[in-house]
Amino acid sequence: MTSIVQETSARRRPISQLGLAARRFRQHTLGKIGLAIMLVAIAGAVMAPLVAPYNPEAIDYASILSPPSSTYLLGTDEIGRDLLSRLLYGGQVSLAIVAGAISIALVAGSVIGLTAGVLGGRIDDVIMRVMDGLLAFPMLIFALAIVAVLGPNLANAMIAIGVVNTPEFARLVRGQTLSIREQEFVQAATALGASVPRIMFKHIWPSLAGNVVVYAALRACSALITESSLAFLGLGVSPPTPTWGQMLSTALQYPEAWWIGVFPGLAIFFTALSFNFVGDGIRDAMDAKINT
Amino acid sequence: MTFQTGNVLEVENLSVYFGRLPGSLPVVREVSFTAVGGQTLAVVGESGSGKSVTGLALLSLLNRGLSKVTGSGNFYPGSGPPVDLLHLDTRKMRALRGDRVAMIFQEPMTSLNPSLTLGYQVGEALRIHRGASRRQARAEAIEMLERVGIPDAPRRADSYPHEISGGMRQRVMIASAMISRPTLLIADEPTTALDVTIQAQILDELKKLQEEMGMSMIFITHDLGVVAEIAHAVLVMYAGQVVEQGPVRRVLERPRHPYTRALLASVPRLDRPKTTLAAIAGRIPDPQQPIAGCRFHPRCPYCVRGLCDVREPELDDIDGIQSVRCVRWPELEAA
Repeated sequence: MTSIVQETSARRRPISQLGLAARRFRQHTLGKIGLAIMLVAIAGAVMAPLVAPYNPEAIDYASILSPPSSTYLLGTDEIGRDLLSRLLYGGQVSLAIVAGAISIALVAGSVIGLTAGVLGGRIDDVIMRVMDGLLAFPMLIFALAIVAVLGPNLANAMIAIGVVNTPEFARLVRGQTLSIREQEFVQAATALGASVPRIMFKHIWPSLAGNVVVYAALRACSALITESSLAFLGLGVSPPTPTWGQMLSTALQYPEAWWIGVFPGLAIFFTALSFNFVGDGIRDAMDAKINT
Repeated sequence: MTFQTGNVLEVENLSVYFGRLPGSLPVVREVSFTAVGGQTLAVVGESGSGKSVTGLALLSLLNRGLSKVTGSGNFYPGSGPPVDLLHLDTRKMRALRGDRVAMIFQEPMTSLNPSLTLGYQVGEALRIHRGASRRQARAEAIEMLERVGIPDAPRRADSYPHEISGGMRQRVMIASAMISRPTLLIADEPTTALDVTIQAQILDELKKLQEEMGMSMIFITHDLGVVAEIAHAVLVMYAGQVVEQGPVRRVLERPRHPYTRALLASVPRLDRPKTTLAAIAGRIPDPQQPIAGCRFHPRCPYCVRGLCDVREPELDDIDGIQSVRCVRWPELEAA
């Protein structure tokens, strides 16, 4: 067996593909900027009770619609609530809805897409026609309809945004599954006696998980905007709990108080942008062809 | 461990049709053979002769919607009654695959999952069939990796396929197929993608494991050098048919069929001074193109008009151990 030693590759610690991707992500400037913004947004939301200067629902009748000042850094809204505090607390709700909705879409879409892709045939046809049908609705109208039926609250907003995003995930996962299914290692797994669910989740899923995560980051951006739109239209979480979209919709009635609209708008803009940057960063980090 | 000496697999009249159209012609036509415990049967033929399809059909790995398989394939799993591999429901087939019957594929570069560790992939059969825990499977996988000659196996078990060479990957494939000590191993050109030195090592490894475990092996290849190295019996296929079969020495030393002769003549040899290699003119026929008479006659140098292109030859038994599908074999033998 001495000759085999020549076959051994250089002695180093085995590095998982995830480790390699993380290494490359660290060199992606835009990805890092996105990650930084995202972490600031998340930290602000999570630590809102600690860092918010006021109770977001506390009303100061003495300073209604006051512009940014040293007392109220970002000003106050139409009934004298501190905008900065509301922005921080609003982030909690907005980000929670985005996280929940994307999780729902990712899990449901992946299971549906894998099932359709692996089983193929009639089942694939039926599933994908249903998904196409759902995609045919304008996303916002569809979400509105779901919230209107279920009632406007945090969980339902999450479900609605999750459901409208599911077909896109299903389509992505199915497409990738169709190509991975034809790879020899899937046939090898079948030859080892692996069951259909095992092939779906153990053998095919890891190969497309990376792409799905990237897609999730990119969809998070549109989910945040959908959430804001729902809230803007008054079908998100009910007041007085603040969300960014809701704050934006209030601003519409007070065009003279620019700060009510600008700050939530910027929060939505930067957070959405950060999701996009992070998604791009992950995609580029995983794109380098390391799997032969 | 089951150490079988008798017949492990008896295939009779295996035919494979692609496409569900009623008029479609078979890609594999009425192939019969027997695999014996502890021995290796080589299935030889050009690309397109139907040898891989035969292997895939035995494990029901052909797309069910696009193909039809007929015939029977009685498999003796060591204990219990024989089962017909060609008429097995999905669940029972799944229980056999990777447990009693294992398969190795041609491309070690693509047959391993790039996102799973080697240890996981080798131990997987035990997790599927024996209900082994993650830890047990890993321990046995490491042991198996050592047996197929992977140095530093405990560390390699945590490596990914992209970190090791092609030869090593094929060893890993072998380990994953052999870990459940199958009764029958179907090896579909396992050495074709490897360079010659590694090829010899892999063949030795397979022979060693076969001796230790007493399994029967069906070795699909187009390489007659490999056949001489590893096989006990040979089945020569042409255009989906068996054209010659017999013990390896007989077939290689006294080939009766013109196709087998031509195949042997096309192998480069050091003991015969010759400047150019003999090639077989033409190419393998399209299975959907009906051919009258012998399927090899358009390419056969011994073809006689009015005989070979009219009557389809039977597989003639020569002397109880070798058979050939050629109407002219006695004449050619005499010549």
